[in-house]
Amino acid sequence: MSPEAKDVRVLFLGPRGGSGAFSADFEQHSKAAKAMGAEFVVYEGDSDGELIEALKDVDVAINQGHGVDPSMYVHMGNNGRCKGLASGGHGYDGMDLAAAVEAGVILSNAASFGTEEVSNQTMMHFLVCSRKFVLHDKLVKNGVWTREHLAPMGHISGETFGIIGLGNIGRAVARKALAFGMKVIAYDPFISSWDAKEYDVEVVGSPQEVAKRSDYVTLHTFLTDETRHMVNAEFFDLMKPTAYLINCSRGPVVDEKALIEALQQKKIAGAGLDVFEQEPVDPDNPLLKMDNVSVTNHYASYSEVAFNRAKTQVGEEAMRIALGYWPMSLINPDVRSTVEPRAWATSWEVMLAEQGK
Amino acid sequence: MAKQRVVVLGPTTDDPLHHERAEMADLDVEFIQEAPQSEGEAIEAVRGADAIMMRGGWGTEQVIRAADAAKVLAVYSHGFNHIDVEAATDMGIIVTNGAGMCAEEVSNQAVTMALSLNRQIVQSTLQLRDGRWDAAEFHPIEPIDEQTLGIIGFGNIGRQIARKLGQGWRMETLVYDPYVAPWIISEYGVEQVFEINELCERADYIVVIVPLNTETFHMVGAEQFDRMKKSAFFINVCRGSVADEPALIAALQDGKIRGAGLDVFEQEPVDPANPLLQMSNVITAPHLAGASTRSAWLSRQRASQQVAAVLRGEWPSAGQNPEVTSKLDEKSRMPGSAGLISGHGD
Repeated sequence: MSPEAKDVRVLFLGPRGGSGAFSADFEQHSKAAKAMGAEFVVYEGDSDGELIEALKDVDVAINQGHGVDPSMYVHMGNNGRCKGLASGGHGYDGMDLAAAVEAGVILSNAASFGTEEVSNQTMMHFLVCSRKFVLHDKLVKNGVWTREHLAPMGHISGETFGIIGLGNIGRAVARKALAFGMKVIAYDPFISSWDAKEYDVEVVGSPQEVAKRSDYVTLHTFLTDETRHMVNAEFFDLMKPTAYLINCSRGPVVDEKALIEALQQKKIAGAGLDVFEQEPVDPDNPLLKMDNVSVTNHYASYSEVAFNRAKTQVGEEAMRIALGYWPMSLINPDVRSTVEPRAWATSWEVMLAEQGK
Repeated sequence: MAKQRVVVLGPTTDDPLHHERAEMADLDVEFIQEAPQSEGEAIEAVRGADAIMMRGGWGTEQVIRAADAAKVLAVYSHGFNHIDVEAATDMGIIVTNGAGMCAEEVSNQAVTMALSLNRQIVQSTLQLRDGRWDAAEFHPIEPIDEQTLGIIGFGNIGRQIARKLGQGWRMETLVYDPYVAPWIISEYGVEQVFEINELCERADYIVVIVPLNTETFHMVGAEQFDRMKKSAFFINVCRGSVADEPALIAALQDGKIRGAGLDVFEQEPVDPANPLLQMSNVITAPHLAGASTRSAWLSRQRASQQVAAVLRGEWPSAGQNPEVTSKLDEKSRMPGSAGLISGHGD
């Protein structure tokens, strides 16, 4: 039996070492709990023992960059009051999904909060690369006015945009690339060619085919064992010498050493990077010295709207978990086999009405 | 290991099963075709089957409980309202459907209905055939790019309708679907409303495209027709019983709405005496929204791929009862099934 909204307690786990200092930062997270008349508790401990105690008295926890060790799962789910963890980010590299399934712990993320922003950052890097902006910005600012470095430069319309990973962000990128008149191809083993038709994207059978055919390759996968270094020396060997690589996903999806070599040996034309294998990036990283490489400091998902949406959304997911619903973005779906049946996730507005709020 | 038995229930027992055989070519399976004439025959047919492929009916609790060895029950159709899913889940049988196999076709049928109602193509054809020439009879004809489309149910088909009529014809588009993720709403640039009645009040064209289940049975009833504009058109291309048909008939008779486009009926084949068939503002089709030369073979390919996946020990891409995994041993739960089990667009 799930508790009534008024009896629900939500535990907020903020970034470690920030106790007290981040007090202004959980207002958005607490909105959903307040709207339901539930209690919102800010965790102030700093040891595993204290966390175990805190989890005993709450129905759900919000993990906003706190990092909850998978050893905590045995005190939750089917063995405790706290039914799950609603995480504030996108990636879930640090979580142990199998352990959570075993313990019946429901995990959710803040799916899609920055889809517009990341896809826009991707299109920015793509245009900056294609129009050779980094080089010419530098030349003009240094008093050099020349057209001698323009060729080769693509027409964009009619060129091929290759997407690896056709999730929410990949689809938004596809939509925008199509608006530029480009041919869009994609590799994603989890999508059928029929679904891809809906997005006007040609699905291809391997990442290698994307490498061979694309004038721009962009990456929108999670970082997992499967995707780590999936773009490597072999991949760069297949790419066209006029092609660009754009990465706004996670640094380690690309073998950075191989990327540097490919650029040095002119195997590809350039790159647009929001992420690196080591962050903050080493100031001596050769990528920072190249005029055909545009770089940003891992802020692709940022805008005030996106971040506020993420925080609000995670608060709503927490209330879904506490009140016996599935979250909208369940990241360990096999947990359906280890916990009692729950109600399908409904829109927040519908849920408020269902709960008489 | 003995061959796995794939029992195909259909109208005949001499189908060549081209797609079924092709998709399972790497598996050690034998196909058994049955064309049961009664529930008792269906019960006999499914006993001992490792997989059941079903065309038409026979998805009752009695039949499913007799399927003592089945791992999967694949229906060829999109709808599976004729299957007792609860019994299947209880028996540890994965139920699959033909998800996506006719989204193109059904969405086109809805678009065709909307445009035909707007341009009154059926009525004007009949008028000319009748030897008359009177454009005024069809007034007013509203400009569709200034009209509002309301879509009830925002799955694969609802999204295609939004893409075609919303983006293509530039109709303002409202969506009612309590289960859709907010990011799908933003992706399609539509407006979400949270009460079905609000959609009914605001839309000029109301398309219902949901699966039929206990929650959606008669979800468009007298109250909803009362809320609609007198100028509104109602379009049903999913299942007849999603709308309360007597209430629809009454609404049309009382002039509460302007017309309807119906591919489906509460009773099929439709009773020739059904008043809907006599109304000049109602256009109809014999439940063919999903049909095309492609969906005909795609439904076979899809169903066969679902069975093949389960027989290989994988979670199928169109599994419709994820709760069944609690009945399966851990080994038959496919690692990495995450993206598939959580459904489309997640």
